[in-house]
Amino acid sequence: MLPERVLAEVQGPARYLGGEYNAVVKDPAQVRIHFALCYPDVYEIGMSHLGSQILYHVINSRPEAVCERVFYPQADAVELMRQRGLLLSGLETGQPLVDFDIVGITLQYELTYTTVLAMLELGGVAIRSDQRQPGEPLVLGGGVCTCNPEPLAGFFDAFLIGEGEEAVGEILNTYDRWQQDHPNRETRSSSDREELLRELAAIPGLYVPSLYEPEESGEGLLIPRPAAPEARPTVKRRIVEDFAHAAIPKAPVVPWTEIVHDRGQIEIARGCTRGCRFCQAGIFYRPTRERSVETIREAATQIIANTGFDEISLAALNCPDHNCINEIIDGLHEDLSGQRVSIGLPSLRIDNFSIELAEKVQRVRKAGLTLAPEAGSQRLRDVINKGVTDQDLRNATEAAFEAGWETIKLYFMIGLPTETDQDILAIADLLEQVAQIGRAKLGRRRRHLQINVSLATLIPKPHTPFQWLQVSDPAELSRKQDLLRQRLNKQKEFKLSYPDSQSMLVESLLSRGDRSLGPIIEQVYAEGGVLEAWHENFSYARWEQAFAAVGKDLATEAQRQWNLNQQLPWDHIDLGVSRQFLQREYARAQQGLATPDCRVAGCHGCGLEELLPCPAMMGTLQPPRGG
Amino acid sequence: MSNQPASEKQRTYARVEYEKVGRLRFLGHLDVATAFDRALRRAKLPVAYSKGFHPRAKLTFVRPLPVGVAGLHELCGVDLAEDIDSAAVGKRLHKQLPRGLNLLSAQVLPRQKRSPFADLNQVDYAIDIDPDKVGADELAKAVRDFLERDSINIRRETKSSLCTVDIRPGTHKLAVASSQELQLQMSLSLAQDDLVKPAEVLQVLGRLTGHTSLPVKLITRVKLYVA
Repeated sequence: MLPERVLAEVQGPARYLGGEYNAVVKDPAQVRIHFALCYPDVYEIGMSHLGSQILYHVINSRPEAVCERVFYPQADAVELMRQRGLLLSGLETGQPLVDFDIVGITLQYELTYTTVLAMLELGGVAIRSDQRQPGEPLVLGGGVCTCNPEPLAGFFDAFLIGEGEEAVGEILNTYDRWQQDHPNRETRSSSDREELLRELAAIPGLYVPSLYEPEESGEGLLIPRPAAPEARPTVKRRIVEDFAHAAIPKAPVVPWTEIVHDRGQIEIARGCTRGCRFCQAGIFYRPTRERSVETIREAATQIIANTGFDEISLAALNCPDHNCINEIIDGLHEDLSGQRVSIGLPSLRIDNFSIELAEKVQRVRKAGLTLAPEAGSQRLRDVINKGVTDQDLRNATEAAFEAGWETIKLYFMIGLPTETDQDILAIADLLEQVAQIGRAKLGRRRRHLQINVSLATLIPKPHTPFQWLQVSDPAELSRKQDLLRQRLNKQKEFKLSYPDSQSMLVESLLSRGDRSLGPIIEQVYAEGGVLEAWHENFSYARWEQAFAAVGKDLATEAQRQWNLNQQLPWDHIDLGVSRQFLQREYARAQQGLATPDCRVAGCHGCGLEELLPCPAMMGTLQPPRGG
Repeated sequence: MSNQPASEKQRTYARVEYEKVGRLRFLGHLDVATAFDRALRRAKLPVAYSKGFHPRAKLTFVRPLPVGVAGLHELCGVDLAEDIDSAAVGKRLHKQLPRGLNLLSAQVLPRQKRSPFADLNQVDYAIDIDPDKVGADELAKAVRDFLERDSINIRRETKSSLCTVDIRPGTHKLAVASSQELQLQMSLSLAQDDLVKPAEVLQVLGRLTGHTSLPVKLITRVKLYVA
C-alpha cells in the first residue's frame, strides 16, 4: 500500500491502493499475530494465486490473527520508495513488513527467488536468517518449491512442506504461546528466537534449516544433516486428509485492476493419479481428493454473490478427471448463467475432453481452450507416461471445433529423455492433422482458425521420476525449436511460442540446487536481479557472473550428471512418494513403458498408501472417464 | 431465465449518481466500469446485457475521469432489463459499491435512443493549489488577467492534429475561493465547439503567475450539468 502522494506519481496506481472489496482489515489492537502473506511477484500475478487466497481466508478466520497481502511493486514504484525511505508494506493497513510477526512467502517458481530477497530488503527485514535480530519477524516459506528448499535455506527461518491450510493454524498456535512468554519484541534475545524455531520444528511438516548442517557428498553436493535434537531426519509433507470439507475462500478479495486470472476460482479436486513422469505437482499434491458437486455449487454461488465476478474457473490439476464433472458444469450453469457468469476450465488432458463437455463449457461464453498432449509421438508419450493417443487429440480437437472454438492452444514439451528429431517432427505431423480437422470443421470460418503452440522445455524437478535426468543442452534445444518452427513456418494457422533456453538452465539449477546456491542468489539480487520470471528482467550474464564469483561455471554446473543411487540435497524432504517408486518409474521411462492410472490399474505402491488411506484405493474415486 | 426483456415502451435505465473520492480517485476509468459491473452483479439488479460471446452489463459513463482526479457528482447510466423502482436500485447498489465509489442517488428513468448524458454541456471544477508555493494574491491577480481578456489562444494536441483554440469563450466562471484553503473554482464548457479542459486553464494561469506550472494538490470535478 502506497501513500497518496506516491500514488500520484506511479504507473498503474490501482495495484497499490489496497482497500479492495472483501479485503480484511482488523483493528491491530484486537489481534496478537500479524501475518504478512507475500507473493514474490507483481499484484497481477500474486492476486491470481488460489493458494494465497486460501491462506488469507484461513488466517483471517482466526480471531487472534490478521493476514495482510504483500506483492512486489513495479520498478518505478520501487525507485520512488527507495528515494523516500518507504518500506514495502501490507496492502490492508500499510504496515511495513518488518513490523509483522510472521512474514510468509509463497514459493511457486524458482525464478522468483531473487524477488524473495528483494521483498525482505524493501520491507526492512534482514535477508539472511542468521543476521535477523531477535525482534524481527519470523520468515516462513511455503509452496511447491519447498520440494527442495535448500537453495533458500539461508534466507528462511522455517519452511512449511506441503499443504498449508491446516498447518498454518498450528504455526499460529505455537507462535502465540511463544509470544505470550516473550511479549516484548525489543527485549527478545537470540535464544528466545531459537526456542521458537525449535518449537516450530516439532510441528509436522515444518523444516527449520538452521537445525541442519550441510555435509558434502561424494558427488560434491551439500546434503543437510540433523544438527539438533529437534531436527528430524526427514520432514514429512503435510496433506489435508479431509479435503472435501477444507476451507474454501468464498469471499476472495476483488482486485481493483485486471489481473492474470481475473475471475473467481473454485478448487474442485486436488491431486492427480495420472502419473506423468515430469510433473512435480502430480507428486506434491497426492493423493487425488475431490469435493462434492453440492459443495462446489454452493461455494461457486457464494463466490459470485460475494465478488460479482463474471466468470468462475474450476481449479484442479485436470478438471475432467473429477468423477462428477458433467454434474458440476451442468449445476454451475443452472445456478449462474442467469447472472451472465461463464465457466472456465484450465488446461486439459485430451483423452477425456468430449463434445459433451466442450458444449457444456461453451454454452455461456467462449473462454480459451488449452489442451496438453505434451509430446508428438506415441513412443515419447509413453516415455513421459502421458497416457494419451493421437486419436485422443483428434477427437478432442474435433469436439472443440465442433463446439465453436476457432482458437485453441496446445502444450508440448521438448528436451524429453530419449527424444529424437523424429519425435519433434511428429509434433508437426500432429499439428497438421489438427489443422486439417479445424479447416474441415470450421468450413467457411476456416480463415479464423488459429492454433497456438506452446513449446515448453522439460526441467527435471526434485521428487519426480525425472529428477535424475541431465538437463538438455541449450544449443540442442534451440536446434529442435528451429526444426519445428521451420516445419510449421508455411502455415499461418500456427503460432509457436517457447521460453528462452537460458532462463530454463537457471531454473533447473535452482530447482535441484543445494545450499551453495544461496550466496549466488544473493549476488544476483545484489547486481539487480529481480522479477526474473519476466523475460525482460532476466539476465543470463548476471547469473553466469555470480557463479563465476564463487569459482563455478554455470553451464558446467547445469549439465551435471546424476545417478540413481546418489544422495540428493532434498532427501530429507519426504513427500510420501518413495525413492523406490521414482526409480522404478525412471527405469520404465527409459524402456518406453507406460504406467497406467492407479484408479484404473490398481495401486502401484508409490509409497503414499503407507501414510494415509489413499482415496484412489478406498474405492471412493472412480476411474476417470475416457482415460 | 428471470431477466425477460421489458417491452419496447417500458425500457428503462437507472441514472446513478456517485462520488469517486479519496484513494479511489487513482482508479482508472476501465477499472471503475469493472467495479460497477461487479457491484451490479452482487446487488442482483436486473441489468441489461450486451449480446454476443462476451456479454457485458450495458453501462454508460459520462466523460471518463482522469486517474487522480476526484469526482463529487459522477454519473453512470445502467440499462435495465426489468422494471424496478428507484428506491430498490439505490438500496441494493449502495451496499455493494466499494468504499470510495459512493452512491449519492439512483433514479429509474425511461430509456431514450441517445445517450442519457448527451445534453450535459458544462462542468464545475475545484482545484486545490499549494499555498506554500503560490500566494493567494498572486493567484487572484492571474485570474483577473485571465478574465479581462477577450480571447486566450492555446495549442491543443489531439490524436491526429495540433491546432490552436481559444479557451476564453468556454471558460464561464473562474474564481479564487475565499476559504482557508487556496482553491480555484471554474465552470467550463463541455460542448464540442468551445470545450475547455481544466489543465489548459491551469497552464495559462501558471504562465500568468510566472510559474511554469501551478502547484496543484488536488483536482476535483464537482458537477456536470446542463447550463
